[in-house]
Amino acid sequence: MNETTVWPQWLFLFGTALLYVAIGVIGLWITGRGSGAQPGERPRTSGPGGRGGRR
Amino acid sequence: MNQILLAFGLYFVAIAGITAWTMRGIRSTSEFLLGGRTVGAVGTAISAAASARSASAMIGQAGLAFMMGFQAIWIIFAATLLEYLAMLFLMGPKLRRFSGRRSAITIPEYLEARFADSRNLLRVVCALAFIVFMIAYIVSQYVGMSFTITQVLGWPLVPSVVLAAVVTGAYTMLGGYRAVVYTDVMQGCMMVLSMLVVPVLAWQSAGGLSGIVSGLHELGGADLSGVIGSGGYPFAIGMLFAGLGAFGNPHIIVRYMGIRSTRDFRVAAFINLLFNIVIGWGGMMLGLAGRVIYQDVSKLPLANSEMIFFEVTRAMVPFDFLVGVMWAGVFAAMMSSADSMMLVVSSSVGRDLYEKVIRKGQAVSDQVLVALNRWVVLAVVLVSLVLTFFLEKSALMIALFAWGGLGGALGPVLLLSLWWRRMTKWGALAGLLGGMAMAVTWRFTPGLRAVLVYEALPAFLFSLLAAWVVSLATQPSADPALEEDLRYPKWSDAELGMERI
Repeated sequence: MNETTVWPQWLFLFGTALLYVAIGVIGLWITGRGSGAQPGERPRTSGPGGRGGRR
Repeated sequence: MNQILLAFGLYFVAIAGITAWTMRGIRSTSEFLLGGRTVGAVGTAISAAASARSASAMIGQAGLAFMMGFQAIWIIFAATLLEYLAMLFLMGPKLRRFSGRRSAITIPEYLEARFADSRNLLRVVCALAFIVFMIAYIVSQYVGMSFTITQVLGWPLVPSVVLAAVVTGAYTMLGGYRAVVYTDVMQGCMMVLSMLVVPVLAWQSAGGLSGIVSGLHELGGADLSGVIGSGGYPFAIGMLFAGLGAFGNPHIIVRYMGIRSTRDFRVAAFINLLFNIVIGWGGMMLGLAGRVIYQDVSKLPLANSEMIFFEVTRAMVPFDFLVGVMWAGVFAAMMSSADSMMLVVSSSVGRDLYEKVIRKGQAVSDQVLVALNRWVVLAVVLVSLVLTFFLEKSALMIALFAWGGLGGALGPVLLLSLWWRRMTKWGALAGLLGGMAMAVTWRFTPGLRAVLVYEALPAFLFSLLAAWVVSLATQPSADPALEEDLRYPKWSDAELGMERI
């Protein structure tokens, strides 16, 4: 089978999975922007609160 | 076979350990039913996904892909995205904030608080619907277990199903929400392991993507290898809307109320998304590769396409112990769904009907209430077991109906209640009853089902319409704190919510 005929199926199967992972990463990035550190507070680099979250 | 038994034995021992760890210190119904809102992002994410993906979703997706080819992806395409959006944006943060500030620990209780329903109408209707549909759901899980036990493992039916049901009931009864969530995490990890290992082995064996596409094309032409296959656009669109059930199934949504902080939704939604991708897309890969390897469903045991998971595992996974771990993953999928449904029934009977309606205005000690909730779990196990052996076929039908019908009726009511302040109690009631009535009508009217196979979309649209029209025709109750309690929380908010449980 010609390799080019596989591309629609690759996009359909793995492309959608990668698209969703990308959407998830963008979601993390957008929501991470809203949880910035308070003035004078040391930013957090990990944990459920995300970067700069205040517990 | 001894090594397979060993894997199952270790699985049950791990469950016992988690139960012993989580059962200490349960002093109130809030702790029993919602873990005192102390569960973090990872627990919430995996538990919500493992509860939503029962065994029929796990091995059923592979079976569907085996029969229908690439077009089977439509069923997971929308559901995965909708569940992610529900958790991160549409429902999770607002529901957690409002329920925390109003001390609501069940969904009927949230609706009552949201609409200041002093007559308990919404609470009673919602609780009764949950009891009926969730028990049917549990029975469907037990039916799935009995199939696996007899057809795959070859173990005796009655003692095996009773053992699995008693174990599930025991840890739910003793450890409540925390036991359910943390066993769900272990069970979820087993599901992920199974759906990573087995599909990859099958994929390699079938010759990778180009081998699979050409193999499917030879077997069924574009019907199997095309993205719009034999079902055409009506099938694709119909399957897309099946994902609407994600908005209204209480055993999933209650996880949003039990999370430690609204900020935890950020990571929880991402983990939930990754989990659903592994389970859904793993099922697709397994089914497609399995079709090329086995070519026809008649070559599978019982001529059942859902046996592809068990057949590939038996043929390709080395060591009996690992085969046992993979098969225990299917059990884990059933048990992680059944336990969450048991807890919903327990909360509906113990909290919503007994504590808040039957004993309304009377003081009942926490000790009595926790004990009552535990006894309800035991009763649910017994009732479900009896029904399993009597209502096998109709239970599966009701379970399918519960996902679409209850999801379609409750989903719009919850969404509107969170985003539209003008909504009224009567609008919510109309949405609930109207959505369920439409789902029943659609299911039992052959002419309507010929237009659209699944009732989720008509129930959702009718519920939305009924809730909207009736809300506009009636007056909302005055609630000065509604705007603040119902606002979308900022990601920088310290919404721990612990102060008002």
